[in-house]
Amino acid sequence: MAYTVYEKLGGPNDVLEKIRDFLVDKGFTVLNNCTSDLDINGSGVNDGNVLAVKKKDIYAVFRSANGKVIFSNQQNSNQAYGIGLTCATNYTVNPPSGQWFDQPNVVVNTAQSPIGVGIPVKQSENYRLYCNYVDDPAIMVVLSLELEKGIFQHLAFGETQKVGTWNGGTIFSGSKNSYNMFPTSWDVEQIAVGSNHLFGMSSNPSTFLRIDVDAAPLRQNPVLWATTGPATGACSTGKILGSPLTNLDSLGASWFPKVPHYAYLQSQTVSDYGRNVNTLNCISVNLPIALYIQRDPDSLMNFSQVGYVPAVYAISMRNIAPASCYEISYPKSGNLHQVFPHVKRAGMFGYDGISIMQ
Amino acid sequence: MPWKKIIYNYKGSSASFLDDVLADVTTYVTDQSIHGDDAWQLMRNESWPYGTVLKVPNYQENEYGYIGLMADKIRVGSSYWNWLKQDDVLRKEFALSKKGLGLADNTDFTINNGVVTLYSKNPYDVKVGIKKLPNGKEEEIYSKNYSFTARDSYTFSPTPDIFAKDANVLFFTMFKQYQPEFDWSELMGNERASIQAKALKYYNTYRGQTYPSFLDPPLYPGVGCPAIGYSPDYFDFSKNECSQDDKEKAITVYLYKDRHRLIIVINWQEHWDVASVGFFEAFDTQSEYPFPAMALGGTSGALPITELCSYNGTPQVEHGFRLDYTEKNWSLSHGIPTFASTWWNGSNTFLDSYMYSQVQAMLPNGNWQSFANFGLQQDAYYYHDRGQYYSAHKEPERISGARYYLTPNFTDLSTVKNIYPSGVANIAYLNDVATENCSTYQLEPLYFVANTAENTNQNLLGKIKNIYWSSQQVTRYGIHEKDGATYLVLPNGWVNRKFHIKNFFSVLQGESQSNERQIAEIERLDKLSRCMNCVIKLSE
Repeated sequence: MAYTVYEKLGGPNDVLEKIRDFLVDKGFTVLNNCTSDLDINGSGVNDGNVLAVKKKDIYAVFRSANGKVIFSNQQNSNQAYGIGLTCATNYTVNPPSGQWFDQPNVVVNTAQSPIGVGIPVKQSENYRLYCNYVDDPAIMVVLSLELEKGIFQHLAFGETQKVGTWNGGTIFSGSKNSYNMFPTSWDVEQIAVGSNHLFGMSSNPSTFLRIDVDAAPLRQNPVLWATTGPATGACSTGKILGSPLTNLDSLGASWFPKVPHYAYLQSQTVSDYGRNVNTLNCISVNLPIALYIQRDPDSLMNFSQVGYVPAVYAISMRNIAPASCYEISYPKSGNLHQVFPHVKRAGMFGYDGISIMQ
Repeated sequence: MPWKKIIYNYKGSSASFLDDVLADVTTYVTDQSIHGDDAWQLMRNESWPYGTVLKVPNYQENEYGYIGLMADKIRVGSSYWNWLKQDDVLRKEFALSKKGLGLADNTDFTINNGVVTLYSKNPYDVKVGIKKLPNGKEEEIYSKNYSFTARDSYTFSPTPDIFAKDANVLFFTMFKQYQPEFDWSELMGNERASIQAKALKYYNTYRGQTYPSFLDPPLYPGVGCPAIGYSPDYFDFSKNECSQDDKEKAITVYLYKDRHRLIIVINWQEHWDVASVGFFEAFDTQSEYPFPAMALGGTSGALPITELCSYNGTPQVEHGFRLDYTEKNWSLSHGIPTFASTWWNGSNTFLDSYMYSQVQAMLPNGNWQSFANFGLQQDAYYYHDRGQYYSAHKEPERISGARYYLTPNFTDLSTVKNIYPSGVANIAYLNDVATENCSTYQLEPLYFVANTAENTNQNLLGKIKNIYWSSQQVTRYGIHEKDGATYLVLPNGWVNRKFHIKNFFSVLQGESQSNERQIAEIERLDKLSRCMNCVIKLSE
């Protein structure tokens, strides 16, 4: 399916409405249609809107931030403009606490505080929003907001393309997690600082997978979600999810899972094209994003592969412009993929990018 | 194969000359009524930094390449800095680049009008709400915010520049693929290594740095590719129009095109420039050498310079080169392909990594490589009696350690009539009809040569088609006809050009040299000068 692009966007509420329009068009059921929501810290002010959607087993809840924090533990409240996303296994319009993220089996950190992912959104004049939806081999939605020309932040959610049979499957990811989502300032150099590779490993993870793994759901505080980072931290769930994509500074960390990774193929510096581009004939290869889960007992750091992120691949952006489509399988296949940098082409992650099946 | 002669007459400003040439080239090479199936396809026709892109057939069916032509008006003091100081460029080429500051991902910095400032982050808590605890007490909720304190600030001084003179320039290159969104520098297959032009200097003003840090100049879009260039007002006639006759005003441009390549020759009075771009004839098969791209220009722009600099009161001499694309650049980096030259620091290591000349080809490994037969240097002499430095061009040297060069490559061709035995295919003969004795020239084809790393074996990569070196002195330049074929004979840049002009004959070395020795020197250089010719075959 072809992507949809929205231009001349306003602030967080406007971007949220465009996301709603896109998801409705793709057959999602709307459970909460951008209704206005009270400040989570009880000031009594409406400071953002809630959008909740459902398709198959996927429950995704979005919340726009317009000056106030939207999760319990967030930094940079002075720049609190953006969109947060979390996923659950059901949805209620009137949660007991009154807080939008207080949903059944929602993602929580090891301190039992609901967490999620998020992106900063400028108060006005966001450049463009690209929306991708794929339902074969599994459902995947990728929302790519271009805040300034060339600077991207992504939100993605969908279901895992499973290997084997297991309970769960909802996966979601963002350029930043809920703790980090607001920037320290709106300077172009600062907007993206703290970003991760979409679906990548990070010491501040921002990818979550719903999975019943071994005895984790039966623990005193059930662990229902795994995340692509260390077992402890502001956005850690207690179970590690392994992905081949990674922020390079995580590679040497003690918690880094011993699973096949692309760190050596990725861009090593701002001007390094990475080893996933064939400069002889200018072809970039689509590398699949496999998912691995930490097994009990955690201390052994054993991992099993559980599936793939559907329709999204790791690539080098050397030969391809951001948001452009290219035909895979040289010389002619008719199969188009749209490509994005994780943040910025030739930026902090060099030429690392993602390619989304159309 | 078709060729065309176009004559331009400028009554006033000639500033648009290279734009006009580019427009005429584009019209000509895409004209199906002339070239039939061999006509090229115009992909885009845009100004700097995007350029004009033409789709050109490679040798194998359904394989293509893209020729890039881009006109630009370069101005010393503004063009380069205005490009470099853009946030996107300075971030990539300086702030985050390992060659520059090499800042880590998590460094807090800003770029403001070319100044990169680093900050320390100072956390402070902001109260965002109050939480009621089950025991009835209240707990304040905080969010961590940050303020910034400047800690380092990097400023370039003097204003960074890679150019030595104002010039209107036409650049030439080849691309492997075309993507409309990418500018000239980003298009695939146009990656060029550093040319090692004279380093830019920057200081950490916050720390009061007095001795500069150096940055290898990032490549401005177009720089690194061969070019043809002129002073902005070179062809202007507005001032003395009535004293110029039409013949003097006429600038003649010759265009030659076949299926795979383009040759452009520009002639004004006694001044000639030649450029060629497209695919050369590789000796390997298409599967062994899939993309034999070449780009030859009238100039690489390299102008050796020395500068006397003073840091903390200590003077020192700095060597290097900047780019002068104009007709005024009389170093051999400006001239015909047979005398291709690179700036050189004297070491073979430099030649292996940084050779930069006006003749370039893409090696089978996909890298652009300059080919050069001569090395250019400049020297500084300290003249004790006057307490002054003088800078002087050294005589161009045969760079015997070079791994990539062109053949024929003799330093002194004045006594050579035949390099190859007669009867070898591909060698044509041309009579100089202007000379009374009607002497015969042997036309020596130009080959790209690659040495092995050990310098023990030489490999011929391929032939530059239709461009030849003539084995004897030429006495008449311009169109020659022989046996139904048309040839264009041109000098190296301009008629009666000297291979080298000695500096400071009298001032510095005169005292120690006899007049006989000086005259012998002049005669030796004259002999070399007479070899500098080029013949282009325009039709069979």
